[in-house]
Amino acid sequence: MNPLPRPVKTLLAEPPVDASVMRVWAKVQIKRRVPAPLARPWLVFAGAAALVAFVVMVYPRSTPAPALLVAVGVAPVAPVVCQPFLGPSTPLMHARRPTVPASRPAGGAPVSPGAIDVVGTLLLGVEDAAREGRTDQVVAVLGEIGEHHADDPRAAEALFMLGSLQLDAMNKPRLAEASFRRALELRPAEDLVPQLWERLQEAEAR
Amino acid sequence: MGSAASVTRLPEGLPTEALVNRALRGDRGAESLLYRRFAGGVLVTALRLMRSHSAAEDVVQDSFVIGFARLAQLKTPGQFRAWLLSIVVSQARKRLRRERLLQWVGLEAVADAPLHHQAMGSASVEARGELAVLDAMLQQLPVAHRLAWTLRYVEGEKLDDVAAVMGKSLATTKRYLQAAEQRISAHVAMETP
Repeated sequence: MNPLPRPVKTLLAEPPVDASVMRVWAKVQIKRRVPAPLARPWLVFAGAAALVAFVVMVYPRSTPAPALLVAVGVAPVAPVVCQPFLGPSTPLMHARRPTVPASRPAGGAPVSPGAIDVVGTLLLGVEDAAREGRTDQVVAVLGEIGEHHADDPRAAEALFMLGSLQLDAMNKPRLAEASFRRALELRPAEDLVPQLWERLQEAEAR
Repeated sequence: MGSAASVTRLPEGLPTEALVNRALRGDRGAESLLYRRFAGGVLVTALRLMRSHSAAEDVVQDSFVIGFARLAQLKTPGQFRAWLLSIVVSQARKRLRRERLLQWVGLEAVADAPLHHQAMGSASVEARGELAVLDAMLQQLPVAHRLAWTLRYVEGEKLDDVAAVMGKSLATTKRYLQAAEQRISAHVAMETP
């Protein structure tokens, strides 16, 4: 039997990493935009204060303080879980459950915990497809988000990913150019704009 | 990051040193080029260290975030790859240690890319078998020994470079390699180093 060579990598195949490189770059940019909450204690404090203020506004003033505290964590299930232990006149039982809005709110992002986040679900599908190397499906779903969910704030980001894929992995600069242009039309996040312009110029130059 | 960030069109062949200097001045285009130049290579290395695609991606993602945030600490801009690799190794070490802890409580990490799954199509059945044994042996080694051995004898990094990216002295690195070699050579037939 032949011994294993040194370095062992001469026996290993070069794994395809193009899809991973694209996916990780998108995550790096997102992570750099969002400050780590634990590194900024004031952000944690502000978040907690905003949550308490929200609960105070949403729940009726008659709700007693202990019920209010419970509501912060378990509002949607509290009435159901506590039913066997509380009487029908307990104030907690009258706490409001979040409701699904009849129509999509302005800005497109879902605000109610009960609302179905279609774009979020599609993006999860994109991640799975990319992980399994199904580029066609990634392109189709990202295109679907850009075309049919243009009012969602994440649509521009999806088109940015789509354009990057078309430019780097599929070598289709014209399609990439169209995707970047469309993303710019959708009023992307401020941080994304320079990158979109840069990639657009790159696609035009090819 | 921040309002000072700018983007300029850069030629692909710009030296790494120039890209680092531009990135330090807030040029996002230079950051993007640095990423595209080195991400593929470090992803492959991370995959061989972590044996899992998702773990390798997480390690590389965290490494680039840390790397760009601490770019000012890079003393020799031309050594960006080695410096980045040291961050990758440090992140991999943390993650592997966490995985060991999770294993103790019965939560096994998913390894979808062990060495024998990464073998070339032309590799013989015997070679694949040896790779599987090697992979199993590497799992049993202490994390630092495993990382040092993988970098030296799987990736083929130079001894000095292994010591540098591990953040250890040459003597300590040699000790790690020797300890790992003793255990591996008892079970796997390998060329003499």
